[in-house]
Amino acid sequence: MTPTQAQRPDPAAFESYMRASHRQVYGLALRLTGQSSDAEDLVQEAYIRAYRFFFRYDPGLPFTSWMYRILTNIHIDHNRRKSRIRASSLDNAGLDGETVWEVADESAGPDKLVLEGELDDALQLGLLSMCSEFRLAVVLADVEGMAYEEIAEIMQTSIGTVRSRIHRGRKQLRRYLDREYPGRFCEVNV
Amino acid sequence: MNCRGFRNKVAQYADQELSGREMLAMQHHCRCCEGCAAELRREQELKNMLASMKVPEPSFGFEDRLCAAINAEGQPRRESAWRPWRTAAVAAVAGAALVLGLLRSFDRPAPVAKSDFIDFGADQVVQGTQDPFGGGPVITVSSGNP
Repeated sequence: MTPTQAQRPDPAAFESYMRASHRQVYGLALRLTGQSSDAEDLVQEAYIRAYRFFFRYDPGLPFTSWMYRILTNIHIDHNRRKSRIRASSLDNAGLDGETVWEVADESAGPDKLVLEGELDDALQLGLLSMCSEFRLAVVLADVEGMAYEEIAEIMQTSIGTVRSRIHRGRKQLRRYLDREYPGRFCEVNV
Repeated sequence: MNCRGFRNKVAQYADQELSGREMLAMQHHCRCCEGCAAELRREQELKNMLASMKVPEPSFGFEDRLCAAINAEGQPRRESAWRPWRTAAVAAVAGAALVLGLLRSFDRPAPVAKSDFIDFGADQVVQGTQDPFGGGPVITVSSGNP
């Protein structure tokens, strides 16, 4: 290929893909973040990145899977950045005698504000209690119904790792439900 | 199959991600072991609950806001036409360097351990003594000219 042969991606095609897929992509984002506003921000960032690199999309593959992969990468990046910021503030805050410690109060987090008693809410809280890699693997397998191979492709890891994350993730979720809702989900007890 | 083996693979079994032979072994164990059968039921129950979670809807007008954000980006990028060429050029240079390095390593004479030989000039005096502090022998090399 020479420079004159380079194809410019079609914005109209991207828009039609986006309109067809955004609800599904938003669903995954909400399961991962637990907050509607965070999920919308995440989805928007993912679509903007997808638009910029639309020339890399292979139309022979499902657009939603490509979007899931982009969204997943952004979500993991955000989580890593957040954990770095938190570690640095814990190390450095307070040395000058004026800095205010900004440590999240886990017990008063938004998860406690969600109405309890509904099965969906209980499951969503359980998902949020898991570490992000386990949560992502469980959501892709059980909520999105994907095969291990597809999940490995999206998470850019091996099938063995996916297998282990799903196994351990479900165990964590069952323990959470058993601890927080004892007797409510009798079949889910560990 | 024992209970430990069953429980390690119960997630894969519920997801139908095992081979046919393993699926049969799991099925057979499940028939004989009530505890493992209950474990499988719990796994499937959790999977069903997760699969039946309601699909959440984004807030009103989200689709339009998304379109506006995309339109604000302007035209999507086009693939740099030089990219495949650049990749090929990098690969060619790396390959050439590797071949060159291999050829040079074949041409080079085998290294000689320096400690095996000591060259002395014809006008040098070599004197061997014993270290007075109890060490090994000391060889002193000095110029032959006074």
